[in-house]
Amino acid sequence: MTALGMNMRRRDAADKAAGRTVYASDVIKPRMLHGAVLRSGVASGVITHLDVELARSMPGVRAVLTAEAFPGLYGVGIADHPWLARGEVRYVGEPIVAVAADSPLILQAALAAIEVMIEERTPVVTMAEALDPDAPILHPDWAEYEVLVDVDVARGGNVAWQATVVRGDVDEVFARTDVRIVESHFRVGRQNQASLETRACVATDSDGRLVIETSTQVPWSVRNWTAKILGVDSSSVRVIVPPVGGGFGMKFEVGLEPYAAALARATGQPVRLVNSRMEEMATALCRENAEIRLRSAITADGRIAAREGVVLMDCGAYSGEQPFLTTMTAHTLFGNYELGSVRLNSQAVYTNTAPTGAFRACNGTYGTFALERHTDEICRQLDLDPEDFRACNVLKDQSLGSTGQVFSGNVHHELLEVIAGMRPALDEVEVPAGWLRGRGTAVGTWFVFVGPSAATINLNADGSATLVTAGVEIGSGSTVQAIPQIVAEVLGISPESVVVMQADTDAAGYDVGVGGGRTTVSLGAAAQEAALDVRGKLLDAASELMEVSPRDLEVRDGRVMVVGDPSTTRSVAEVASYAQAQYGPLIGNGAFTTRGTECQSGCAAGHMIDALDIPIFTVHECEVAVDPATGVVRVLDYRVAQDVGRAINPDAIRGQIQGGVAQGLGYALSEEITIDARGCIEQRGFGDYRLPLAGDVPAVRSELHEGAPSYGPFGAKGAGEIPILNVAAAVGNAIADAIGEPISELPMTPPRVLAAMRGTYRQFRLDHLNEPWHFYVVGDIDAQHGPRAR
Amino acid sequence: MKRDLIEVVVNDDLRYLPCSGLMSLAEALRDELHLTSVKIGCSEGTCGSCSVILDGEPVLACLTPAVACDGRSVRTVDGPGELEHLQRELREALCEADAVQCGMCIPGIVVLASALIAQGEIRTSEDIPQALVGSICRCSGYTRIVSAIEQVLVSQPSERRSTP
Ligand code: FES
Ligand code: FES
Repeated sequence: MTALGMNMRRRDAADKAAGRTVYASDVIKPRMLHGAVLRSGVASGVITHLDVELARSMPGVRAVLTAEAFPGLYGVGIADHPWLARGEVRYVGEPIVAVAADSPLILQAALAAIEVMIEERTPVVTMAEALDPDAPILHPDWAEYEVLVDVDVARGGNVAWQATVVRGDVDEVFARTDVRIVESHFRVGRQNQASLETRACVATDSDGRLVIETSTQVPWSVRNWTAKILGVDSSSVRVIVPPVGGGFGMKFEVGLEPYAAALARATGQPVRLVNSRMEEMATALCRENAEIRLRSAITADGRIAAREGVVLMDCGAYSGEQPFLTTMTAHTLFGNYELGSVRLNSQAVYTNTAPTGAFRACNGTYGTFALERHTDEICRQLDLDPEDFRACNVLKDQSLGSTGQVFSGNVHHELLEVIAGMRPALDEVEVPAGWLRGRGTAVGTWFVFVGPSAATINLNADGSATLVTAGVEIGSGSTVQAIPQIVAEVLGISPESVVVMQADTDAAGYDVGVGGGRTTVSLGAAAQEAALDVRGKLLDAASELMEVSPRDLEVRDGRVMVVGDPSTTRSVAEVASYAQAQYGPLIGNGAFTTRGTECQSGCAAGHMIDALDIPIFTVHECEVAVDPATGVVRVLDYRVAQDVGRAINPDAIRGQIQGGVAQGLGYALSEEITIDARGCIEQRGFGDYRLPLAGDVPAVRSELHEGAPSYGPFGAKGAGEIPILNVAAAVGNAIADAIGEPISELPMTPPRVLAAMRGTYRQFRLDHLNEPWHFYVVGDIDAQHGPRAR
Repeated sequence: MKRDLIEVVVNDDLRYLPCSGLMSLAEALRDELHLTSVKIGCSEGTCGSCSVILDGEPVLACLTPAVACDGRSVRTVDGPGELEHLQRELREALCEADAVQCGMCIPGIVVLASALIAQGEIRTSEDIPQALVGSICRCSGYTRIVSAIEQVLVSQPSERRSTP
């Protein structure tokens, strides 16, 4: 029996369903205080007066902290983010004061008693405003900020970060007479992660250290950043992660933990902070809004001779994950296809709005939307067949990616064939009378955010195994399905007898975190290595006990046996007990990190990764119906062909596909965030932010494609993040097909679909993106890319 | 701050709950009785994760003032009672369908679906999506939740179902 490919059910499901699981937001401790922050009501201004004395003097108020308590600056690429506002505020919702009190009611009274006066300035709300030469600079001290990664980056003014790709001579190709040029503009809105559990944590000051139980995807980042923000030793912070009630990327950065920790230290009592839904609507690290210009030169035989792009990504008031994400446009918006010459500029732009961040497949979602809409537009304008065009241009074995990375395998091709085979006959899909029918196909390329992971396995004397890692259970099931299955496969025991300990930075070694499709791959590979390590020790002990060379032994079904002689066996428990008595308990260790992938030197500048480690490919296709009277879109049939490398738990992957497609449908069709002229996000909750409901989501049909190259454990790839990647693209192409007109904005709400039907998007242009490419470049492009940049 | 003591039968036990004017039933159950099976996804009546049974009717505990529950009976997903069996079946079906991901929405859905099946509000598979219109699941994409409920529905005695 093999543990791989088994549809093992989750051991945590029964308690979750019965309400017995304790999430961070449920943790209650003796003497626990309730904490919260006072948030700015204005988007930009100088704090002229701040008086917390009244609040401090109220009975039941235990601590009131201001900016001095948080000396460190936070960031992913650039340290630009004070954890409480220092003298000025830059977005609506920015924390100004942190308070702890005996009860929620006293807490609210204390927040109301704080006197704060802010001299309001006109906020910079849009990226067009931010890039105006006369715009106020959000961070006048930008040049002083520490750059936190070893990357030579061009930035300045309201451009927090610039990542460029330059390969070949784009100008020359666009000037040729034998190419035809297609240009498209796109604009996409923000998307709120809306995990059902908001950000929540409890901190305790214990034995001189800060112990934080928190709802996070990144225990080690929380440990290190809480320490840095508070100005204490990172070894004095311990982070424990109970089951997380959904993250989707929002919990990939430090959040409320520094407030809880500082308040716990100030009071000597445990302090809990839980964001309200309204706070999450105002301050979640949404998928960013973005604006894109894309231009392609197509040859007579339908090849892409050159592609040029400008991407503006709104990072909000502080840069957060966006400097990293500017990298990803090269691999998504400029991915999928073989390109001749390439020129791409992606910028993270500061505005006086809530900071944005990572959300499942990040900017890959709209990069793919823009690319695949552009691809269909090329075909429509030049009268090419989209199916042939894709088949001809997709990345193949030995194709070069935009940064010069060499791809292996013909995975896109294989997936396009799989999806063609899943296509329903015309009469198999029922279209409401009078509605327009359309089909959309979208190709996508994503990656595994590999990075370091550590694992330790205790092989216990009873034959069970305990895996210690900093892996977090955020709902995807990796720590209760794929990872125990990997360990069980190596150790020859049943996956039910493998337990993964909840993440605790005091017990488990460093880990990048759960996200980026990396759990099964990185944590899985570290766990696999630890399992191999302990398996070696098990076989050594068995060889002694059974007087057989370890080379002649194998472990299967919980027993060590002689190869070719299954009658001579000992149970794993017997051997483990023997080893424990003779030498001490059996322990195995594993560590893993990226192998790195080569790209062409000089192609990419300002990039945190130059090439995709373990690329993942996927093709989506759907049938939609559009009501021509209202612009309402209904998704009738949805199909996914996904490269999974190796399906360790196929049902779990299908569950991720169904859930990821549902989130993608929300992104494509209904989840809309608008920001008013004062910089305020207008949606306050689930009443006006429309998430997909049970009646909105069709049953997704999926094919898991195995066998593509991957150095993940047993050839696995990340499967949880990518299902959302192509959804807006496939639906967008289907809508365009149905109405016979392009559509270029997300979400594709009924009013936008109606506008598209009237032909609005045939001439849709973003005025501030009409300048030549060089106009947008910050710094000296030739210096960054070498002489070949011209 | 004035806090009144109210009498509520919670899962068959008589409990005295201190509650101040604005406290919701959800807060009272969670903070005073530590019944954290009542999940809070929004506190605004828009996600369904706090569903409990009040005098036999499913209600949103976050919108129900605790003071309004004086002298009444509340059942949560952990509780005994006439829906206990149905709830266990639903939970088992959800686990078997691998429908549970982060799990935050599930207790509320179990409470709501059990009440609606018992009341005959969910009679056919087609009723399920409509019944879940106030229940948000951000993880699963719903289909497995719907089919788990469907499976329990077809196993019910026929008076609870409409004849096909
Ligand atoms: S918490 Fe009550 S409906 Fe969301
Ligand atoms: S399982 Fe996470 S919200 Fe439903």
